[in-house]
Amino acid sequence: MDKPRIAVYKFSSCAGCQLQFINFESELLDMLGQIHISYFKEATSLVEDPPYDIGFIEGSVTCPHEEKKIKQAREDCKVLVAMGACACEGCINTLKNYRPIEEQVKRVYEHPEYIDTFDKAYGIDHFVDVDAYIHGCPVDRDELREFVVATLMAKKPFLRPHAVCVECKLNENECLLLRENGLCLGSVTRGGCGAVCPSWGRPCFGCRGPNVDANPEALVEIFRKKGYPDDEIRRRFQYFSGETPAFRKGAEACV
Amino acid sequence: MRNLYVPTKAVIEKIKTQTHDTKTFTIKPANGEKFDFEPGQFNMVSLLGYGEAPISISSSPDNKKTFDHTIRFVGSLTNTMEKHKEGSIVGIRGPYGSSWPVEEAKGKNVIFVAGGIGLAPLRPFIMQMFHDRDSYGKIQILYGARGTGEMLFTDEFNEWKKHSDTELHLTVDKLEEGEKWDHTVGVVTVLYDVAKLDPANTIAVICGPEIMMRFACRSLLKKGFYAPQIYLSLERRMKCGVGKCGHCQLGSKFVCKDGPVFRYDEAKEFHDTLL
Amino acid sequence: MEREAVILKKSKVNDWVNVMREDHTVYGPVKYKYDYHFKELEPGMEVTLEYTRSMIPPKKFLHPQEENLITYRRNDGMETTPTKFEQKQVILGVHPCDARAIEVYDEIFGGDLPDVYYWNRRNNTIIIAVTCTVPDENCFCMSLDESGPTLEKKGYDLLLTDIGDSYLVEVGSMEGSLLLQFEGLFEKATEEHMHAKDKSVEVTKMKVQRKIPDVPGLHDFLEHNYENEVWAKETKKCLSCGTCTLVCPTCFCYHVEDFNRFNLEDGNRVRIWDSCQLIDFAEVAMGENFRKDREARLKWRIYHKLAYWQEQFGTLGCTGCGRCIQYCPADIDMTEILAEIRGDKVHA
Repeated sequence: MDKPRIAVYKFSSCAGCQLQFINFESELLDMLGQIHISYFKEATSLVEDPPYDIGFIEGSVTCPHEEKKIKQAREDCKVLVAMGACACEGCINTLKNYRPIEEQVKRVYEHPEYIDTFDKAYGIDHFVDVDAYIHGCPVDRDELREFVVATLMAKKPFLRPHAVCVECKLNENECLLLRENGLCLGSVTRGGCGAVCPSWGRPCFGCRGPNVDANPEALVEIFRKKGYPDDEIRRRFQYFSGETPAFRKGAEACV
Repeated sequence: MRNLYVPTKAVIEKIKTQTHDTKTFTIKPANGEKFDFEPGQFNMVSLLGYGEAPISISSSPDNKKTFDHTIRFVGSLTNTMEKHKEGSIVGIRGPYGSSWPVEEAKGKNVIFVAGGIGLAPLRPFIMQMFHDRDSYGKIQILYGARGTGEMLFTDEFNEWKKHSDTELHLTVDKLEEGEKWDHTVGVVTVLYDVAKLDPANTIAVICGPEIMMRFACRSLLKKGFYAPQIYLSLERRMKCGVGKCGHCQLGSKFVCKDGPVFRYDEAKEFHDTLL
Repeated sequence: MEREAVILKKSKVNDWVNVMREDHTVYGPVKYKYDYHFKELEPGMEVTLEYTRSMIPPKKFLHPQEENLITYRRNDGMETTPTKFEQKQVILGVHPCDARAIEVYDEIFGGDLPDVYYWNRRNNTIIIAVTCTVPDENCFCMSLDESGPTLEKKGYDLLLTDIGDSYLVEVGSMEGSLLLQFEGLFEKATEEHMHAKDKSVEVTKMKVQRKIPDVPGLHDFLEHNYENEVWAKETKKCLSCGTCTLVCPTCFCYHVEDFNRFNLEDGNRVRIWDSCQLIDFAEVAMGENFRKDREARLKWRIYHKLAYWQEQFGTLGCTGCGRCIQYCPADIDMTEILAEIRGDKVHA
């Protein structure tokens, strides 16, 4: 069988997710034994024409020309994968979604008149059908490997639908929510990251979006009991994944 | 101490297409040892790289050289099974679990109620009865499927009906437009009236989707059956098959070890079923 | 029967650990920032035997969070050797609640179909239990075993009890007694020391205030109250994060996954702790999920432990260690749920 032709696209993003491919380092040769890179600008200037078998999309869609580009990518790729928080949930690009756009453009750019941008930033599934999601900011390398390998083997990848708390307990992390009254979103955020932030003593920011049966209203109650003002809780829910239905519920539960 | 989790190598001897998404694999232990099982039991079928899944045995228990798995291709593991060829190697752990009431049924009439793929786990029991026909009373097999294309073992039905005092009643939920069908249309319980069920000296064994078993069992009660006359086979998530991984627990039972065959009076007391 | 016992001065505990370390891997409770964790005791580490509970129970040394079952090459067979133990592991400082949970594990992983990975670890494990002296408000061991903070004759290889400036060390097995063969560490115990232990235990028992009343009646009580409105109320609070089960000393459930490498040939079949509180725990291939509702999952944990376990394994699935209460971020507390259903006054 021919090796599947892979494309890796960049939209509004920091390029950290695609870097995870390159970070496979010692495994790169084995990986390249299984896939053919057709389009991956961060890795190679050689570009082959579409169609591609699998397109990995990094980045959110924030402006009209990106909308055109994502629709083209959808046409060019048999399987389209949202890779990382920007492509999945919009990530920190969605911070602009909660304030008037004119105000923000003025604040950032010297010549706002050159800026042609949407009022809001979106994950790519706002514009196109997406076949699979790999969450995280950036994506976790083990999960990326699991996804690529499982896809090549026509197998359902093991990507945890559970809360980050599971991996926190497996790692024996001390609970930041309980022990430090931290504003930790781990209990409503999809794990699979190995609880990387809490393992380094940082509360979960929810970059991976909600876990499958997240209960954000319950967490809002817990934060309130710990004395957090609603405004701060809402901002935490809106930090990385505010446009997901579950985190929106969390934000809306705050007055 | 034997390692429970090591699958035994087995060879696929024959593959037979049942429907558009279901095939029967005839499998033989690679070491040539005989394979003994009771009707109703299952194996953990193991494909390295893909994991394991509990799959019931669908062949006659008289055949100790090979056994059949009738597999519907619905997930990663079963889809990979579909790609296997005759001669391919698979891993097997088993047989595991409880069996249909083969002894208890002796001298009694037996009603089989099957839905879709649910005929597969019942087939070993049916075969066993045919093999030892005089030990049992009347056999009534009621089989329902979503459509005519979803029925398993159709090429054996004429053979089955030739056995003395054996009835086979078929129904499908729906017919395609213009499709010819000499049997009943409707859910499997419509066959209860067609077949004129008599609870006296009878046991009923049921296998199919859990929601179908719910209606099949409840309708039998309405026909005058008592719950202890009814047996059914439950499907639950299983990772080990040997009562360790915990997924299949219902009440104080492991479906893998204490089931999958339960008597209805016990099964209906469990929480978290559709029964 | 006379108890076989010696005395170990507290000042000599670290010396003892050091001599044991020559032939064993020794684990014990070590304080991190807030919680105690069972860690390998290395030179210079202070082991603390006066502690309330570790976050993760010592079960992890018998049924680790992740364990490789099979190393395979897909088209070229597999290797399935359970972890080799060059030396035995000593778990020092196991509380009675956790030691009882290990006895429960022995049932689960034993029986007609023993789990070789478990027994390979278990048979290479020496348990040095310690009578608990600092139970807190979450402990309710007394409701589940009348020996509460100590163990009676079984469940340990050695049992330490704080009797002031020394530990009384009781012997539970031959393997345990072999760890007392070191010169200059132990003194003979007298009747007086035994009395001191009994007194200390009595004092600790008084400190275990939390209770589950009528444990033998729990099965029927719970079955009668399956539809009680308390469950829906608690479900609203529950995050289904799995914490209560992951920190539980008797929870044993695991997931099995095949992890493959980029060459698509090599891989490992690994088991990982799982939890009945997680959404996909009871999901089957065709998408049917028999405990999709959060409430069904929340109830299942409590019903399994308190109503069904007895028939399954001959013991209860709870030892009253208090972890599920302490570590639940949503303050879900099964003892209070039971009290509320009973109509008892619930403390805030």
